Amino acid sequence: METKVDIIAELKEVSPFLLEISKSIPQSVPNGYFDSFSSEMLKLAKESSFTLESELESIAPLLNQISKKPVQHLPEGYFADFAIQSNKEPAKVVQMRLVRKWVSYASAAVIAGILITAGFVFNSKPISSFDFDYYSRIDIPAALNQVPEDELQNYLNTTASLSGNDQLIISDELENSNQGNFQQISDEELKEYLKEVGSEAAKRKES
Amino acid sequence: MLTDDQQLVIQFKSTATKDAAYTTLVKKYQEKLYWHIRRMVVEHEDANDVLQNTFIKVWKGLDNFREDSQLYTWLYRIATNESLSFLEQLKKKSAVQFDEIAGDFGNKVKADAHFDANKLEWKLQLAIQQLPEKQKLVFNLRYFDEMPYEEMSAVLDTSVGALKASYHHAAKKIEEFIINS
Repeated sequence: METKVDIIAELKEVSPFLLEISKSIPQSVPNGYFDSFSSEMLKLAKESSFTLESELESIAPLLNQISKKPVQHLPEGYFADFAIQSNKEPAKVVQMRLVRKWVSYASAAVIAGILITAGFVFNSKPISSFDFDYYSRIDIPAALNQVPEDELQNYLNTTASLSGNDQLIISDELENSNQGNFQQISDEELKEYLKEVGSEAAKRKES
Repeated sequence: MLTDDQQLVIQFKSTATKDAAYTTLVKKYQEKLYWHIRRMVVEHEDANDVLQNTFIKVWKGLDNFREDSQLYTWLYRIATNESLSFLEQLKKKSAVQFDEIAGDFGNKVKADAHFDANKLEWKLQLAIQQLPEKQKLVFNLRYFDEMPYEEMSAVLDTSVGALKASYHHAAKKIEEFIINS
């Protein structure tokens, strides 16, 4: 067995430089670290060897002496049968029939056709169906003359009732706004106006 | 004639003297193992954790200890394995290369409150951290603990020839590092 002298001799041969360096350890240890280490270590070691058996030993030592083997019996060959059941061939996976794609495409095309046709039928009435020329040629006063008096009266009543109070309000406003203007017009000017209106009415009657 | 260690093992196996034998054993080897671990893991807190794990393993395994090997080498073997496991976990956590780990340990040495870059003892500590783990172990066991190669072979499970070669390489590298730094 090698001695310390052998070890130093080897180092002298390998690296005389290292032989000159002090082997003192420059690092330090917290004060008193080694004083209490052994007693703390004993405590830690005992805690580490804690087992369920040692716990039970302190609580109920009798339980440590009883076997933990189950006392209940199983039907004979239970696990053998269980293994056979688990070895059964896996059931076949049956794929569901796939819906043919062309059917769905055709259905979509038919629905699209119906929608487009309906759109043309209901939304594209030709504007030319309204005969502007016909209505522009109608002689409205002559046509009105052909309308019976009763119907006209009914129409006016209905229109008046529909326009209701708004019409009254508007006419009131007009009256109020025109009141000042009428007061400013002289009697002579009014007489001239009435003459003109009367002569125009007479001309219309003649014609 | 039984050695002190053999007597301790016998006392440990008896329930009446178990605790006393364990305490005596811890007191006897705590400092040697602490420094062996500390040279590997550098920081005190880490060394303390690894040392505790080492002695817990001793408590659990000493009943089955085979008396054909020395208690001393068995303890060093446990401490070495615990240190290497700690370093392995450290590597996994940080996921870095050896060079970075070595640099990291160098920084840990420099972080010591008493660090003095001009002192050879500190330069030696820095140089040791540049070595690969196995070379570091061999150098520490031979240089600081003055362990014979036969015992080291039992601790590290490596042939004496390989250990000699490793020690020579390590010593040369350290010398070079210190001279060039």
